[in-house]
Amino acid sequence: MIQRIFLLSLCFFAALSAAEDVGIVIAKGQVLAGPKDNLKAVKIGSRIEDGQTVKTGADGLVILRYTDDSKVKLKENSEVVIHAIPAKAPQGLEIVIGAVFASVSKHPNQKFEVKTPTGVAGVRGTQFFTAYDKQTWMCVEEGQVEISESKLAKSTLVNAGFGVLVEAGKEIAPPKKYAWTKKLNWNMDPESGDVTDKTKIDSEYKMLKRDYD
Amino acid sequence: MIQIVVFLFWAIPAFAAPAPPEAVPGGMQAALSLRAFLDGETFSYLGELQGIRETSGRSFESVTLGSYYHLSPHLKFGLFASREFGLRHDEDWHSVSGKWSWNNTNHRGETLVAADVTGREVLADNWVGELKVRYIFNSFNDDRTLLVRPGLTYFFMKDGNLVANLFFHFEMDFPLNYSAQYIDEKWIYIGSLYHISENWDLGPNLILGWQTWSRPDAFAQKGGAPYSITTQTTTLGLLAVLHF
Repeated sequence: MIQRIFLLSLCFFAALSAAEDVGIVIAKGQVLAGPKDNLKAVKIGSRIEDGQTVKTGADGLVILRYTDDSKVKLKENSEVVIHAIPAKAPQGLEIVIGAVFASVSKHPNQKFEVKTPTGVAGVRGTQFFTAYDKQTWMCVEEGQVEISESKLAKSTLVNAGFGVLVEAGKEIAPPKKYAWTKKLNWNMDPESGDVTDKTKIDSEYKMLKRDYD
Repeated sequence: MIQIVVFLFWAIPAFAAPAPPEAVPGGMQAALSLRAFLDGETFSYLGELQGIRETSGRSFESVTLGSYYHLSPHLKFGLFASREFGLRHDEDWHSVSGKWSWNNTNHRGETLVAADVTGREVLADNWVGELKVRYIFNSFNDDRTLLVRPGLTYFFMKDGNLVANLFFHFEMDFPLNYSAQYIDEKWIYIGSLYHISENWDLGPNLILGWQTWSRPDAFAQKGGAPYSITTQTTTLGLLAVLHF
């Protein structure tokens, strides 16, 4: 009897432990993960624990799967911190720099959040893309995303096909259709084709921001 | 009787209406412009030097300093001050000892200040539309001008980086407190800038201009009839843009 209880306890804690990390589905090029100060190369099947960092190099790409089957795809030159315990904080990740595709499973009482230094995007079942490098660019492929500037209370709802730019301390402008969003590669299934996204999301920003006269 | 006829023959030119200026024949002009930007997140600062060798012995030189406030990637506000040499105004058609001619303004300095707003939007892949509206005050003669300039730019990109651009701008100058014209100047700018590096753009441009001169007050007071003379110019230019 005691043995049975011990085994059941082991299974319970194993299941609990499995719910507190994410798995690597695809890793290409340089992909490092682990505690921030001790990143190591990872491969398919490796587990990333809550609070750990995942970083991709210039040729890197990684697809992570959460226990609820939500997936995220990190583009090259990206760094994120994983949040894998829904009870501790909304499941999701924090983008330190770089760009991430998210395909979030639908759960009625569970929110998935992507945070950046300038914005927070919260969803319940959708596909969206978030990039951060001084500003946050976010666009939605499917469903609806609620996004807010980190320090301002007001949030904005972004529908499929639309995107927003979030700048620190500024109210978010109404969502609009950005040309670059059409080029994004949302695929996360290698059997359906190439998963690499070659879009340079700041090209539009470069065209608009550079002064000539 | 003969004396009276001779007197009238001699006197008529003195009392005749003054002659309006003749249209300046078109010709190829040459321009050189150097712009430098000090780029910041919200503010950018501009310095510009420009020189044009114009037809009929005219020349134009200017130096401009200013700043842009970028409210967003789509909207910026600018304030500028410039010192310009070689501007020609309607009043420069003047009379010296009864003979009407254009003032030589090549070395006359004028100080102008300007404020503008520029809106930019990506219209389609790599196509950016722009509308600039600029208010200009010339402290030399209190002329106030509203400049409206829509434009279209195509950006050549490689791996998300700027390679070059082709631009087309159409400028209309509306005189607010001078000239009999509704629009006294129109300019078409067609050009290209090659993105040599993050700090350095260089390229040729072609500027087609239509400037219209109207009757000045002094000319009217002498009995001169209203006129409008349009000069069409073609300018081949070289523009360098530096970013720091």
